[in-house]
Amino acid sequence: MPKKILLPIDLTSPDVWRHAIDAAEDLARRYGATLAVLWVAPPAAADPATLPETYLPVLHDFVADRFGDDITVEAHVRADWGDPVREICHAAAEVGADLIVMGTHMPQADETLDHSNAAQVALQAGCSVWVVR
Amino acid sequence: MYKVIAVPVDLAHADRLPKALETAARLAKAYDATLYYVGATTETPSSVAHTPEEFRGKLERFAAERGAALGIEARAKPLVSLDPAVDLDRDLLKAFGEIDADLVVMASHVPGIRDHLISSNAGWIASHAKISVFVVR
Repeated sequence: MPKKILLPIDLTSPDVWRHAIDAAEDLARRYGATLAVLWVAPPAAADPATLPETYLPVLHDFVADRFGDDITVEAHVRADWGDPVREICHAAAEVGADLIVMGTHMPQADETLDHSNAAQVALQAGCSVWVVR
Repeated sequence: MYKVIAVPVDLAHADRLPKALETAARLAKAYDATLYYVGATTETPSSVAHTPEEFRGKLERFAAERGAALGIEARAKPLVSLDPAVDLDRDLLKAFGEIDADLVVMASHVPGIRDHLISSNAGWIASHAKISVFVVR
């Protein structure tokens, strides 16, 4: 079972991620895994070096507010230059995650293809991926 | 969190107990969920079974054995694919719906019907399913 779980979230639309956050938190607690919360955020300025200053405090607040002390949680921020799927897969490799837990919008009709980032990550990641609907 | 977990299984190689089967069993135990082993066969004889009926019996025995060994409620969901080269992924989705699965655990590539050299693609399933999909690598 997982030792380190990457949990990409977008704090601008937390509802999409609610089930994924619950699932990742539950797994982390059950198996003593570290939870690496990742926010792939649009660069606030032309200089990506300012990204952590802009987004990390917000993410740290969310993490402190949302998760208890019984699980180990890391906060990571990466710049979204238009390919969040790539950023998430790279982040998973960098932090050494063996599982990515991702939320997604639900396909509406029988034949609707879910073009979500989660489905793309499920295709492209080098580790296990849990698409939570 | 989950009540019915589905895991596609290749009976010809199930004894190796790949990571997907182990992950599915652990999650079923953790969530006290029913675990369905979903196996695909054809109308025509294969190395696993001569008929769909024989296949069903083998899959049911496999599920009963695994369930007893793991201490979980395990069931068999056999499916007969008329044209697995074209339909296997779609047939699997239909089977997941018929058992009301709320989570699918599968390897990124499931051999499926070995004799036909056909595999199911977890990426396709993850893109098309309406339920949660755990792709195990």
